[in-house]
Amino acid sequence: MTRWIALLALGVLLLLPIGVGPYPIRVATVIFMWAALAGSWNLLAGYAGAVDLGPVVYHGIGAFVTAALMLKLGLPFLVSAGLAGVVAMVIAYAVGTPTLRLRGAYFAIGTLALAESAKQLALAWDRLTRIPLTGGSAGVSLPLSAGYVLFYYVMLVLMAAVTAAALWLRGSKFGYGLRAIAENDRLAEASGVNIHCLKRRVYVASACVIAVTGGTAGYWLSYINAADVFSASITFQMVVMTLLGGLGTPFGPVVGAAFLTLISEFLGTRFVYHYLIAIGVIIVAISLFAPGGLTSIFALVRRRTEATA
Amino acid sequence: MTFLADLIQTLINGILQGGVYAAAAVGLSLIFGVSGILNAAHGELVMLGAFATYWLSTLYRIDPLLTLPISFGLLFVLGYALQYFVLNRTLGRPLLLSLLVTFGISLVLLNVALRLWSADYRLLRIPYLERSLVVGPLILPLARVVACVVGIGMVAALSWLLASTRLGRMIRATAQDLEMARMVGVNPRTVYAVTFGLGAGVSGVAGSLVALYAPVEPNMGLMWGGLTLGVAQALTETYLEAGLSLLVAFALLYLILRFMPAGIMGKGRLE
Repeated sequence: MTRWIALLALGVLLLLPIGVGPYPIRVATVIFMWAALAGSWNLLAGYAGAVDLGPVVYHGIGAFVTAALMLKLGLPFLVSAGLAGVVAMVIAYAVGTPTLRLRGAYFAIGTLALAESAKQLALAWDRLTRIPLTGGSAGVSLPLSAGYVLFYYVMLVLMAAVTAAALWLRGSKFGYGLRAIAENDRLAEASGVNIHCLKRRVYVASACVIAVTGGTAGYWLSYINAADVFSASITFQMVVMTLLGGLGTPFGPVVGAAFLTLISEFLGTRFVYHYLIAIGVIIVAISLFAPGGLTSIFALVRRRTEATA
Repeated sequence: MTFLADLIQTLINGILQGGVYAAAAVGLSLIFGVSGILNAAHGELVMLGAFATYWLSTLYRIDPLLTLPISFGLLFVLGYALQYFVLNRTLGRPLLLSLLVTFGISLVLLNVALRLWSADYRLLRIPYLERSLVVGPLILPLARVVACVVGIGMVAALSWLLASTRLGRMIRATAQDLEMARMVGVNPRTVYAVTFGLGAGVSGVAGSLVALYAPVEPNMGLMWGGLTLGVAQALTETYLEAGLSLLVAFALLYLILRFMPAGIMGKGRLE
């Protein structure tokens, strides 16, 4: 049932640019971007229970590798973004192997430290290595982009891919292995689940999606800067959107991204100075009254209607 | 000789900074250790403490050092209320929920502060702290020495409170075994509220200490995530370059977590 609704929604979204103007398309692209980022984070945190506070590393790597391939080698955008995803996977494999052995809060703080070091390294990269890549604090400008519809479709594909992956995890053996790790990793290991291998696969796959999203966002904005693309606030937004929507649910990140983007857009244009206060209050209220996230409200309503029917 | 003097001076700068970092970090770790709350609003509590000292001494002409207990009291009340009315509702829920709630709280606190006080940098003038102690070739700015001493004193006072008082025993009992603490008549909700109050109060005083020597502004909380890396940061600033100091600091943190999971002293609690 859910799958058919999701496929129907995907069909509508594929045809949407025919019917509406640039502004709604831009808002939708922002939502898809955050849904892809938050959804990637959800794969590791929601299914394997590993809270990564440094996913922004791959966002930054994706943005700079995409920019370098386009500017230095003159490769087309889609090829550059795809290659950036591959680079991020290689780095994620190397970084994830030691880091994923950290557990619980140690993994969270370790990845946070990793992300901050990566940001500082990116800022100092040009001076240290004498290879111009990040442009230091001045950043890098990209060629002006081809038009907004391209970004709409790339972000839509990324969001759909992450959501499909989460749906697949819900019923597959791989997904059950991850959930066993989240419940009790020592017990899972003792029952023959190769916990490091499983977690690393998810980590590497999500790094790829995050990098491609970061590369696309960089080209869309046509200017990137290490302090921005490696900013911890991107990580926090991914976490907040996932938790608002529903951690460990396939559609939670999508709902959270849509909710937070739309409400910021709505309140931000009307109450320019006070809207962040209101958003803070809304976040506290949702987490107190719907601790399972917004999707848990839908699930509750559906159970009620099924019970009365 | 100058090399040695430079090295000692740099180490002293780091230790002076480290004393304040320690005071800021201890509030965060107390709350996490007892209630399991990842407090994303920690930096904002530090910022509010700094503003408490700034406004009390600017508007009411109270000596900045005398504002420290007031700053502690104000932040204690705020922290107690936040835990009692808001965060206690997340008890028994997944750990991450507290991160979401405190993130919402931090958004509110930061943006209310920005609306009330704007993003301007404000610096306290404290004539009697603007001198420096000169010991041979070494220079110790008085304000930083006072901040460091008070910071370390506060950490010591907090460990005394936890180790030797009835309240401290109640807090430690709750952290160790919630069910058993309940059985012997400890009300965990009150203990969590007092703990958050203490953590917030200590963080507020750390902010007040920063206000003794550095400008105050609403966004200052961002860098006070609570990291005890003063020495490493100061060393890199002198011997490498300023931009790399944070890289080394965080790389060090990662290495410590990876290879010394019970902390540098090896006495931490392992999961």
